[in-house]
Order: sequence, then structure tokens, then C-alpha cells
Amino acid sequence: MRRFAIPLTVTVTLAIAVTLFHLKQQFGDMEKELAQVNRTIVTHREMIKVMRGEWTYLNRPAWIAEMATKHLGMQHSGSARLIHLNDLPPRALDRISPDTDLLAEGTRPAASDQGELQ
Amino acid sequence: MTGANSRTRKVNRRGAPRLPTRARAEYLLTGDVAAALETGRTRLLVAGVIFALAFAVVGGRLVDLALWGDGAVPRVAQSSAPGLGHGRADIVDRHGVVLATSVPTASLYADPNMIRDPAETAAALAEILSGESYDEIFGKLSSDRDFVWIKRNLTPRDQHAVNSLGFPGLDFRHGVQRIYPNRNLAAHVVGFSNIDTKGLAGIERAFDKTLKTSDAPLRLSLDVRVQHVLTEELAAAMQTFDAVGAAGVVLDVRNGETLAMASLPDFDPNQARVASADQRFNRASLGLYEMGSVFKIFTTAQALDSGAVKLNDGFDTSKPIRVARYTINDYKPKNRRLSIPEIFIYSSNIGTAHMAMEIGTRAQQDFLSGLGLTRETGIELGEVSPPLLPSPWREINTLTISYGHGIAVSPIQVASAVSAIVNGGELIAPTLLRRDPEEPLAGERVISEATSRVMGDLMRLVVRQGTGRKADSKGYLVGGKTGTSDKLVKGRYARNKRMASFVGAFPMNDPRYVVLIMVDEPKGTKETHNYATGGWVAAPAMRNVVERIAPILGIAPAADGFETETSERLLRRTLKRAQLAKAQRIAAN
Repeated sequence: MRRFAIPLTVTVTLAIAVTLFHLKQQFGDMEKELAQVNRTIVTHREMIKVMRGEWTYLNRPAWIAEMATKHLGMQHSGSARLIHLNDLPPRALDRISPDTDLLAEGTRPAASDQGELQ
Repeated sequence: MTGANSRTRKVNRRGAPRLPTRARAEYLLTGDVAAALETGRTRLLVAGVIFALAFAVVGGRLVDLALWGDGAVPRVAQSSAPGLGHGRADIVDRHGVVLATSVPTASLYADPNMIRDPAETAAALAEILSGESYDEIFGKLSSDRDFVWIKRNLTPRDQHAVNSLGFPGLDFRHGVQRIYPNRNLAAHVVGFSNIDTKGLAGIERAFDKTLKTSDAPLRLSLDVRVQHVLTEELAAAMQTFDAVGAAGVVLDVRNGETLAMASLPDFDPNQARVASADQRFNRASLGLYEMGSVFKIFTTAQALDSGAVKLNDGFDTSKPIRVARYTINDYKPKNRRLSIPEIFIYSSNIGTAHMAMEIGTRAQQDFLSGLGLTRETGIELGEVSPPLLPSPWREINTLTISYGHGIAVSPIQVASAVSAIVNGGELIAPTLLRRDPEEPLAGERVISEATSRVMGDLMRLVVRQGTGRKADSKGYLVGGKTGTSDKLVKGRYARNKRMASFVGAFPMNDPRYVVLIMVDEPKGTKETHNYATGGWVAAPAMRNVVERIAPILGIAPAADGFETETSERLLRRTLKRAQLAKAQRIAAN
């Protein structure tokens, strides 16, 4: 028994030492990797902050309003232009009964209805 | 083992001499050798046990971490990645739009001793860096110093371009710069900070410590869209009436949140150093003004709530009131007995002063105090002023204060007090921070709900029939009160320098928002027949603001017939009394 004790102890000790050394190396590598990832996160966060700032700058209400007026001819909407969705008149097609033959003469939407659709 | 009395011989287990056969030899050590060996063995055992224990501890810790570890990043690893924070938290509006942020910047410097060709380097840099001339850069690079700043806070694009040059002697110092991407918008609220990102004004100063210690953005109650509309309409009113300044506030009457606060002229906080004192002055919270007839809202509300007068009561306004050496007149006298609603909608100083007489000085002081008009507003800004109150508060002061003269308060205080009048009668402290919708609000009751409803109807009547007709916006049921006051210049009222204001709420069948518009020193125009009163100057701006912000705030225009019953009744009665008075006047002539 004693014959095996010392070699066994030495072997186990060596194995543990090698394992721990390996673990230490691995830990060091992972720490470096973590630091690198953290640096990347910082860089990306900074880039996002800069881009958010630029995005906000380009979306200034005054700038959007100026562009909308200049290029789209948009104007302020008064209360007369706003109505509730339920108050909208039904679409011309909704007024046609499902049983109606759409190909039959005289079932096409009236000109006034077409105007509402435009 | 080499001692003089030590011996070594081959023996068998029984101690008899053993023949040197192929069998394994055994040695018996005795004496000093045996003792030394025994000592060595003991030491080895002790060392082995110690090592075994140490490894057991390490092994145990490994198992502990592997099986029960919480997965958190060790402190050592965290400390190896500095710079995850950005030094100062962002300021955002109620929807998360950035109002102030910190961005990493690089500042370019040079060591002139290491510059090989100053002319070539200066030419290349001048091409990249806008605002820096060749001569200026060349002068710096040709100096005999060891360190010269070329340009502070470069844009990332410029930094990349300079890096790409690859010239020796050029380097960067990294730092953080505070930027305000919305520029002038809400500049007085957001404030600004210095080059060391220390808050010097506005929210930046008021929450300096919080912004420095927290990474979470500070969410304000402002809405940049509403803020933009308010600012634009104030600027338009200023331009139309050639005014020297303007201020405006939009408050949510239900929770005291400030959706917009504007003061003109304003400034760009990115270049706060070049702004004048007038530009930096926040008229909405720091400015103190005699608000004029707007105060009749408070006098009428108190008179009705205390029972000093009833809605059907009235006072003779045909004769001025004389107290001591003062005479109280009406701007546009009706020269007849006016009912309480008529006094309010025609903005009669005489009628309101009569109401104040019924109320009394002490009660007026208590009521205005309850509305927060006699103390500094609690809004989260450093730029606030305590109101200017008469001392001593005599009877004549009670009369003049009833129609807004002899007391100077800030616009935000007035907007907050009007919120309390129309929201059911509870004063809720105004705030610039986004409130938690779940958080219960502690309001202080100032008038009853019934009085609040009546006041809402009276304010609506002012817009339907009285001095505020130009504030009427179809569908949004605007109610309010106009105000015009002469400015105090060197202790005297200047006749040609006025403050024109309008404070109102909408929609008056269920008030949600209070809007205050104030224009400083407007001049009458041909279109306004040279009038520069609140009804001509501020009321149209109010209408424009309401029409533009109501859709943003989700207020649908109401169809006809949404007026309250009391409002309709008051309107009919007022019209009838006006027709009767006209008929009597014609008959008398």
C-alpha cells in the first residue's frame, strides 16, 4: 500500500497543479477576453450615444416642420380636418350588398362616391 | 546515515542475516539514521497534510463556484474594464427624446518640436478642420512650445480624417462633451453645463448631483412637440407685435406635469457662453410680472366659493371707486350694473374690486396663499423668484390685487393656480419631472368642485362672448381670461409698455391642459387697430397653440352641442342682458 501512496500522491499533486495552472491560464485568457468585450461594449455604447444625438438633431421638430413645408407642402391641420374614425362615411364598396352582382350594370359606385375614395 | 556509530546491514524480517539471493533485499535502519528518516517522514506527512488541506480548500471553492456561483462578474474583471459609465446621465423628454447627452470627444493637440513640416501639416489640417485657418494652425505648429491645442472637441469624422493623415507630433486627448441636440428648444428648462460638465443652469444645475451619480436618464415631463409648438407661436406673436419677449407654459391640470415651458428670446445651450443675460433669463419662472385681469379668475372663484357673492348677484360699475388717492376705473366701462358673469367676461375692474371688498383682506391673503401665489414655486429649477407682495397689505392693495395689480408673480405660478381652479379645485404642485402614473397625488383643496365647474363655465364664456373671443378654437372648447397690465418702469407705470397675457384651459367640458401665453411689450398693429391688449395679442396665440397641440395630446375636437348646460345658460342670459342694455341705451338717446 505504502508503495503506491507516494507515487499516487505525487501524481495527484502534479495533476492538480497542472489543472490549476491550466485553469489559471484559462482564467487569465477569459479575463482578457472579458476586458476586450467590455471595451467593445463601451465603444458601441459611445457610438450609439453619438448616433442618438445625431438622430435627435436631425429630428428636431423645427427642422422636420421646415422640411415638411418646403418639400411636401404640408400645413398645420386645423380642427376641421380631424374627425373620429367612427364618423367617417362608409366606403363606397361597403355600401354594396354582398349579394349584388358586381358585373351587373348600374352597381358601380356613383361618381360622388368615387370622389370620396380619392 | 553516515554517523560513526551507525551501521547498515542486510537482514531478514526475523533479524537473521540473509543470504544475497535473488529475493528482494530489505534494510533495517537503526540509530541516528533511523531517527533522521523518521523525522523526515513526519515532516513530509505534515507538509502533505497541509498541501492536501490547501488543495481541498481550493477544490472546495471551485466546486462552490461551479455549482452555487451567482454568475456575477468578479470585481477584478469589472475593474479591468473601466469607462462603462459616461460621467453624466442623459436628460430626456417624457417620450425619451434626448434633450441633453454626453458624448465622447477627442481634442487635437500637437507637439511642435516633433512636427517635420509645419506648412504641410497646417495645410492638411486646415482642409479637415472647419473653422480653423491655415495661418492660425501654422502659427501654432511653428511655435517653440511643447504643447499646443489645435482644436477642442473634434467630431468623430474629423478625428478619423486627422488619424488617417498619420503625421507625427499630432495626438488626441479624450474627454466627454455635453451636447444639446435640440438646440434652443427648452433651453431655459434643460439649462447648460460648463466644459467640465458641471451644471450651471436649469435642470442641469438643479439635478447636478443626480446626473453625475446615475446612469439612468432623467425623464422630464416636457413633450418636445408641444414645446416646439409653444415656442413657435410665441415667436410668431413676438414678431407680429414687435415685442421684446414672451413666455408660455402648458400644464397638465390632473397631475401638475409641465408639458412645455418657453421663454423668448432664448439661446443655444451648446453655445451658452455667447448668450446675453436677456437670452438666458427665464421669463416663465424667474420673471415676476403683474398679470393684470388674469387675477380676476382667483377673485371671482374666491367670492363664489366663500359665498361672498352668488352667480346672480351684481354690482354697479357706472361709478369709479375712490380709495385714498387712488381711483379704480374700467378699461372699457359698461356704465351699468353688471352681473358676476358680466363682470368677469367684460373684465370690469370696478366690479371685481367690489367683490374683493366683500371678501376682505385677510381672506384674500389666505386664498392666494392657498393657491401658492404668495410663496416661491416649488418647481425643480434654481431660476425661480419669490413673488413681490405689498407690505403692508392695505385695503387699497386688496382692491388692486383683485384685478392683478400690486402683486408680481411668475407665469408658472399663475398657470399652476389656474390649474387648481379648473381641475376640480385641488392645487397640485407643478413639476418638470415625469410623474409615475401609479403614484398617488396629494392635492390641496382650494375651492369646491361645484365652484370649479362654475369657473370653467365662466372662463368658457369669456372666450364665447367676452374679451377672449380670439382664443376660440372650433371644437376644442377653449376657456380662459385675458390680462393686460402696464409695466413698472422705475417705480411708475409706463403707459406704452404693457404685458399682454392669456391664461386658459381646454377642453372646458373636461379640462385637461392649462396654457399660459404672455407677450412682453407688444405694439399694436393696423390689424389690431393699434390695440396691444391680451385679447388682441395673446388670445390668437392661445388659439393657434391649442389647435396644434390638441391633436398631439390626443384631444379630439368636440362636435357642436358639447358645451355644458351652465355655459349655454350663462351665454343666453348674458346675451339677453346685453341686448336689454343696448335697447335702454338707444331709448335714452
